[in-house]
Amino acid sequence: MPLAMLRKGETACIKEIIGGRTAKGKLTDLGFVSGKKVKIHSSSGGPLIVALGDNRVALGHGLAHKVMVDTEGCES
Amino acid sequence: MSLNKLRGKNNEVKLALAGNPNSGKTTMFNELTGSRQHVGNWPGVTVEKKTGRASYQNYSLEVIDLPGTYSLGAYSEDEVVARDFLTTGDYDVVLNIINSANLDRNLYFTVQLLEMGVDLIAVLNMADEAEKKGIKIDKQKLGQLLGTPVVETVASKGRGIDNLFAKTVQHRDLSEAALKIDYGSEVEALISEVISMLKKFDFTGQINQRWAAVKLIEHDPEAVKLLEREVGASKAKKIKSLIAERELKAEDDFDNIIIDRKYEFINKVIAESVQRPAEDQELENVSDKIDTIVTNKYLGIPIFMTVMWAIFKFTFTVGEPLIGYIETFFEAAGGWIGSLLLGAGASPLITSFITDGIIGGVGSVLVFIPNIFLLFLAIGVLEDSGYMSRAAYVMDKVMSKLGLHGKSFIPMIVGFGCNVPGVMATRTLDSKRDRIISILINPLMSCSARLPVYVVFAGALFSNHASTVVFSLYALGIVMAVIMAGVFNKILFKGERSHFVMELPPYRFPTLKGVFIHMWEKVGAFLKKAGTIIFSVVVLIWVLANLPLGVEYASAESLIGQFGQLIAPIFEPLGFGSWQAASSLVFGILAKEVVVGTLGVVYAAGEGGLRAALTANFSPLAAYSFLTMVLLYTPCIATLGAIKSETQSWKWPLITASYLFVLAWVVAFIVYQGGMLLGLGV
Amino acid sequence: MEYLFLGVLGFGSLYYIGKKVYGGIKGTDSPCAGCSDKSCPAAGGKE
Repeated sequence: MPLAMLRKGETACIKEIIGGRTAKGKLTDLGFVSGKKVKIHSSSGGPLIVALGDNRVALGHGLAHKVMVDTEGCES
Repeated sequence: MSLNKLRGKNNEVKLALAGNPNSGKTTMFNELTGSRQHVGNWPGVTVEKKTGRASYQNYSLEVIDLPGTYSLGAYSEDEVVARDFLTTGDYDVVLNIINSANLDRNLYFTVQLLEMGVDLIAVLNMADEAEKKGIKIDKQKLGQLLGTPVVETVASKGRGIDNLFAKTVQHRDLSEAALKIDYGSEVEALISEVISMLKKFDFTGQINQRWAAVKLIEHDPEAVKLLEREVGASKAKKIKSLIAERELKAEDDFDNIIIDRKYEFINKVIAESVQRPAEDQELENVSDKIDTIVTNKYLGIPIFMTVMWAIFKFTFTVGEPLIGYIETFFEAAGGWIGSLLLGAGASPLITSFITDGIIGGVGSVLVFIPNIFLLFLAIGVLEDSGYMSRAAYVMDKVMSKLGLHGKSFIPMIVGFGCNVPGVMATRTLDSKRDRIISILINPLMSCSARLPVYVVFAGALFSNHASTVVFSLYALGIVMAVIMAGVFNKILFKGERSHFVMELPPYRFPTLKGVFIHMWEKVGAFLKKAGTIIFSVVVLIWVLANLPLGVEYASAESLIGQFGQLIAPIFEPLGFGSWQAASSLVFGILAKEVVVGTLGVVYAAGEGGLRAALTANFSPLAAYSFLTMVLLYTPCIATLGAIKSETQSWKWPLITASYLFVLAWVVAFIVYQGGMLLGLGV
Repeated sequence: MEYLFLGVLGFGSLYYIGKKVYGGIKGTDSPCAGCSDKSCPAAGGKE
């Protein structure tokens, strides 16, 4: 499911990044890659605040829809 | 770039700093160069270029700060500039500034540099933060795995810098050219094929062929362009078709494979050289705690408003007494010099030049140094602390409702300092439409140059309510920006919306040194401005106030008087149809402070005298209407110039100049006539 | 004598202002000291 659909406090594992080159590039640059764990810190309307390890990134809904995640979790 | 270059020639070494944003690169740059910095522009683009000088033992070092980017792809001007410099620029060694507390993301950039075959020193900066998190890095191992020297530093505390300099000037023999990451059999096979084609077509470029091959396989647009330039379109096409053919048969997109392999490599390197405390400590650090409050759905915006108000109050409360001292100084100096000159028998003309012209004109502007200085101090601290990105996040919701993009927010805040960098900061928006709208409303963020005008009028005519009056002007500017954003949204071409993605760096305390360097630059720039353009305009107006010869100083018959009278009628309905007001507004297009300077000259004032002159010549209502005009009307030439270069056209600066003038006229009209109707006149 | 003084000051300043305005429009120079196509010293850090 897309990252955009997760709620505050939920954790998931990134499975795939979809979308055009620019969108994908921006996401990858900031560390959104398959196999990484993400946690939602805030999703009160407006952009999501997502935790990637120690980093915090604010992500608009448009881009959040391009990050496909799995709530089952990551196995290395 | 030749691979076996010796470091520097004749003890001159050129270093380039490259790394992620938030890796402490700027702090490092400041540490290395101190105040010997120069901010310029990369030719042909609007990306900032910072260079500076440093010295170490008997070496002279030139330091070039490349734009901070997360990668060297081709997604933004910043990245292209950095990459171009690294492939074709003139430098001896690259210092890759890495945030040690955030290795996996930072190494993504490092790996790209290494694949390019760049002569690199890995600088593990922010070592103190890594330590705090319990992260232990084995420098030897890391250096071995990456194939580069590794240095540990804490730029904000000046630690490890000497060691860094030492490594920088050491010669290194680059025999093993570049890092090779194994991309898996399919991709590796393709890479070999592409390399042999490149050889066949005599592709030299100035870059390492393997790197070029990988980029082409990733469909990197800049690499493709380079290829076409070097071998011609038809040969380039052959290579492209080969790649496309292979990709169809491949398991997965080459992009994905390559990224996955890069990260695999990075993870391996980290696993072998870094020790972290237990991974699943979801450490809610201090930054997070602050963020839960600051980005809270309900508290976010009020907190932001409070922060803005606090900055404002700070600038004023601390600034007022300082302004007072400077005023008194100028008044005294003016009086003393005046009597000195008269006593020495100097001609009245020269005396007038010094007292009415210079002290009255330039002096009245210099008085505001404290305000300017404090305003920039506050903005700088806010930015350095990391709060700005939170503010942008918080405001994004509100701004999207108004059709603005959250990222437009930062240029707006910058615009409160000066509209020129405010306009330039709109670069971070990728959609053209968002950029243009942000540029058009940026001048409504009242810049620091207009502040002296507000303060002098408010002080003269609204004494007890001075700060409220000034605050109301800033607020009015924001309200108009919101309205105009809505308007432009409806009438301008529809475009794609920009992607919103922004890193929220951990909060940090701005370093004293960094803040000091900021301040030094800004006050210096202000003084320079006062000494050049403001001085010139003041001189010109003073001359015009004395011509034709024999005319009474600054009377309606003088040249400046006559000039002003030509224009004044436009402003009659707004309550300030005097030639003095009119001419000050006209000259204000050169620089907003000049409005004060002009009034200072034509009313023959020393600071104290200007306030009295204003009280005598403006009613409070007329003054407020005048200030509204100053707030909203045509921005200064520097801003218009910036708009032209950012939009690469004449159209937009012209539109900006005209619509703002009309807007200002209409609003001032409403203010004045409305006020008159309400009986607030006189 | 006075004409000379005023003349020099007048034309000098006019020339300087003109130069700056022209430069500002071209983008190579600007009335605001230190800003042209370059970043203003008043700019905030990166981004």
